[in-house]
Amino acid sequence: MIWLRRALALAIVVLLWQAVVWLHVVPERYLPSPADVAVAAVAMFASAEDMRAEMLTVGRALAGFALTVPLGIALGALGALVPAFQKALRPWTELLRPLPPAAVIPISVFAIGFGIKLYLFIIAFAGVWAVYFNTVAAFSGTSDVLTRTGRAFGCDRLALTFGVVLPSAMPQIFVGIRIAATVALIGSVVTDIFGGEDGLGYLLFERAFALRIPDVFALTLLCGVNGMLFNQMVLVLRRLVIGWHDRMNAEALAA
Amino acid sequence: MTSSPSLRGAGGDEAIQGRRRAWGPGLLRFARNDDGTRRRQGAWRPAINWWGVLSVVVVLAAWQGIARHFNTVLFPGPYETAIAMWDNAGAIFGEIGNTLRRAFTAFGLSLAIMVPFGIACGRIRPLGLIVDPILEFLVTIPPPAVIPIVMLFAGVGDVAKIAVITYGLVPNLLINTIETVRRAPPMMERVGRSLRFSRIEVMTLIDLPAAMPGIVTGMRLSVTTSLLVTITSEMLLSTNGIGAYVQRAQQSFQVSAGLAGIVAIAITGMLVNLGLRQIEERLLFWHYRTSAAEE
Amino acid sequence: MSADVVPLRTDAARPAAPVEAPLLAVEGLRKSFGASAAIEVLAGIGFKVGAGEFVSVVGPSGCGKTTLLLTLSGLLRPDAGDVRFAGHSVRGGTPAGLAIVFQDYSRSLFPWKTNLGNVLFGMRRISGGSAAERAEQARGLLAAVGLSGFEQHYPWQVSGGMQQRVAIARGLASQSRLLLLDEPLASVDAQTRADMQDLLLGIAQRYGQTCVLVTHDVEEAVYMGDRIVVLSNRPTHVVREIVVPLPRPRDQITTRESTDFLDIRHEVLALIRRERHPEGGAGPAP
Repeated sequence: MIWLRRALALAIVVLLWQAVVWLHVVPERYLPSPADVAVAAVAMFASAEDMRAEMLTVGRALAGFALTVPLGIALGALGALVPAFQKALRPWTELLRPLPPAAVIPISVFAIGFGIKLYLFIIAFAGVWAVYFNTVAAFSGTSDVLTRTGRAFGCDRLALTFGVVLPSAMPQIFVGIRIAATVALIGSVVTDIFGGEDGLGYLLFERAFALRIPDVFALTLLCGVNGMLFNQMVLVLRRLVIGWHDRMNAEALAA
Repeated sequence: MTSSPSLRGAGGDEAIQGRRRAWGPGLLRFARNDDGTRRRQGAWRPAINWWGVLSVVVVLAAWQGIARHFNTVLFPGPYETAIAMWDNAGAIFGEIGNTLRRAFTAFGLSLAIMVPFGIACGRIRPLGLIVDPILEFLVTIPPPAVIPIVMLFAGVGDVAKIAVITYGLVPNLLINTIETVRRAPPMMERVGRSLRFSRIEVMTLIDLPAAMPGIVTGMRLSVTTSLLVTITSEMLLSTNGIGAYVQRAQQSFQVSAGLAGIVAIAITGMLVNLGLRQIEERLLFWHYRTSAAEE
Repeated sequence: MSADVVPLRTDAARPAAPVEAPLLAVEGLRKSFGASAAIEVLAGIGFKVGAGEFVSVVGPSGCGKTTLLLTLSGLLRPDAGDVRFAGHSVRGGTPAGLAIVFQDYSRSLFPWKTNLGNVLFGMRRISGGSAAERAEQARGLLAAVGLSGFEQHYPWQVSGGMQQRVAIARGLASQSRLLLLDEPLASVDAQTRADMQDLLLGIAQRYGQTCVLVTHDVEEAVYMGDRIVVLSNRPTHVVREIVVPLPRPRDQITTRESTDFLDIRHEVLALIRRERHPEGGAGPAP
């Protein structure tokens, strides 16, 4: 059913698009027909250069994501368990969170240079807050009944944190993880644009300035495909880690 | 019974504490005890976050120390940054103004377009069925990636930037609105039908207020996002705005001026967030009160 | 308030004789909350529980029952007084051999563990035995509470009554010498409640399990207990201890119809009513 709807939506979008092209609302130079974009997309998937850029962008986003999530959870756990740490971090979270990653790229280049380190730094900088805040909230929101149960059955602080608090906090932490995944891709593309010499973001602007318009459309669509891939990845992770929670909710809805 | 209302029930110890509410920037917070009833609220009392002060002092000192060690204009310390802020205060204020004007124009425009469209998508099933998968795909394309395409259609002027920002607000505003309308209890719509409301009346008189909590939440997230996207697109598409200022300063290796711009962005973002939190709490106090009662 | 305000109506309700070598000894327990306008919740509670006894603790609502329970189990530190379990203070945390079944069973079970996993969690302090042996033991306990076939279900997949059985099995799994029951049947329907009462009594008898049941329900306290500790209103202290000489095994129909049962029930209810309306039944205080 959902696939049928997706296909229908795609058909409608393509038809509207084609109609705009036929009616010459926009010069064809700027708005290529769907067929042109499809040809460009096929060429893109066959091009070694384009696929290398895709691998680089996705690979860096993955690496950044893999760094951001444990970092955010660790900081969040520390913040929830040690109030002084949370207080010490508060002025920094409030100042740094609204900063666009793009704005800190040039200054970061001066401090840490180019390359994978820059990507990791920018992605972690942009995505760690979502995980941090959700972890703090989830840890602090652990039900008293659960922690008392853990203590009553002899959990020490460590066992309580890893055996009781963390599992019960996981569903909310995943809210942050999901945001971190989206942000990792954005961070990877943005770093390509502002501080890179390869990758999808770099390629996008290179092609745009060369006025290879169908290529630009194809690459933009590829960014969307990457986003969907990352969403699927988070869903699979979710099922592995907190499948119980989703099934519990489904059960509650059915009842 | 002799027990006071706040003490009744099994959870004794938690209830006695009351609900402590606090607001304020990172270093200074205003807190009061609030047990949910207007009568018992205490006065706002300022409290200094000493741990925050300590961490700010330590980080700034370490930063200054490292900057002193390298001793290069490419790595200015907080002192040099502060000097740069002072020297460029006029320019920075002006550019922040440009950025805010742009961000809020785009925000207002998005609000005007997306809230009605979102309500329509939530209420008119066939429309929603088609729009859903489109949105689902659209939100996976990050705003910076659409800049080249927007550039082709709209050049590099304000229209282009506003288009990019509007696009960046789709997930927060449109999707939030659609979801809240869909989750509204069906009873409300039945009430509307029993009063022989037209479809437009149902949407304006019932769906809009019912979707308000979701819309306001979306709005709060959107303001931050619009600031973020505005600055990013200014860095690529603009000759003015704080984004362009930072970009220019850093390209000409005036690192301390660039840092001053970044600090200005951070402070602006923090103040905007703080103000929004206040407004949201005022606007949605009924929402918070009821959810507090459910705890 | 003096301890003996209501004259005894029959021989059935006798004041308790002192317990020799108690398993649980509570002495002069005090606890207040709040810093400035401190609210005294526990005002010197003391009672003893002997090995193998089933003691019901009953009091008017709002009498600090949860606070008492948390203090008994070592999860909350008292301001004064002590709780000694098997001769040792519980101040360092819940001692091994003491298990709690919380009132909020649906929230005290771990939703990410299966029923079997939850029962196995109860065994974490027992050393020895292979994983297979432990699982076998846990299955046996689930069978004992009538949950064979539900080992691999999650708590949220079974009914409220079944969830409470899992919580009880988990309590038993710790091979506890004392089971603290925090109003365990408060939120199940009346019929399930009667079944669960008999299940608990059966288990207590079979394993020689010492139990302390904290409840607001006077009939339940009388039906289940060998002895009843009646609490006052807050600040809470012990008003009276009453021995329940009803024969075991008890029966939902005949026990509840016996004159002794009705007399003790009358007595406890009268004590509690007096607590709720201290001014001689003048109605609720403002």
